[in-house]
Amino acid sequence: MADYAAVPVQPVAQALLTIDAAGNPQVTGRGFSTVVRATANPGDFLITMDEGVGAADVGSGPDFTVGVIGPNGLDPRFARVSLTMRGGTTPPGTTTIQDRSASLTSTPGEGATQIRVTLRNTGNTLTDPMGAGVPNANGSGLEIMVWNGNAGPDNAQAQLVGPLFQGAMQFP
Amino acid sequence: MTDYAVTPFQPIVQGVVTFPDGVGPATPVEFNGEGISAISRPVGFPLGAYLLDLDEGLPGNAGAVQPGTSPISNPNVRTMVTVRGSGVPPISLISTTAVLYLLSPTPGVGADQVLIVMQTFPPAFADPAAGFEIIIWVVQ
Repeated sequence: MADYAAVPVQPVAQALLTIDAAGNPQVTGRGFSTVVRATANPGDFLITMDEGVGAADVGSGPDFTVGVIGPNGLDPRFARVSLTMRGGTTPPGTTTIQDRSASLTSTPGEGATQIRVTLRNTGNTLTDPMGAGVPNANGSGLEIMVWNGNAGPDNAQAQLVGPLFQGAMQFP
Repeated sequence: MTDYAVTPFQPIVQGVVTFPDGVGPATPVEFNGEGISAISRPVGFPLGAYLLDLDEGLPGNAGAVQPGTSPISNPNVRTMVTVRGSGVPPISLISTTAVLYLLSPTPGVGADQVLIVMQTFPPAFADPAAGFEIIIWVVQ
């Protein structure tokens, strides 16, 4: 297969955001630890990245102390986010959500550890992606994916490039 | 390469949907890419709704998109849709896009069809004249 890959992009988190029967947001997936309403308004969510996420936390991995955050947080310049609405109860499965936006919350020295997601309907009103525990005309949940879009070559590999590292058999 | 990847995203479908005879009620719709064996307009929706059958010969077949508790709560699949614009400057006029994963009637098979629905504002079903791109991942 021809290799056209020029930019490594690595997935760091994915989830389906839904609303439970009590009206609280919840995330099902990997890479996020919690979700809360950012304000009292619907359609406004603050999602915290998992402390075990390698790109979001120096404390990732089984041998690190749980609760240690940074300094390897996800650089907001390198984060890539996809938001997709799942269809609702209006046949065949439309959504009223027109505006989906994500903003990254960064802490100096730590990087981005939270993502704020807002959803607005066609009337520009903040709106949940579904009803309390059930789909509604707005939709049936929100799919979220987050990538690290700058997973470039590491320094150790880059230093191995050069004439000093030519194989011995290539010399006369 | 530094490895920041912490969760698997496995692409099972990628392609572009176009309208070879132009957009309009019940005009033909075409999929070019991988992972989809058939594309059609669902009965009763001649505009703005597209039914994609996952390819049986790829990881998108039976069981790859594992069954959720209902067609709309399948937790194991993610989709990204990007609508292409047309004209100068390009515009699509598509205001909302939604995706649903339709369970096979055969128990245990999981979702074997994906439904994409698009509307303009004010809400009306509509085809994007320049088509749209789609990628589907299994994330479990």
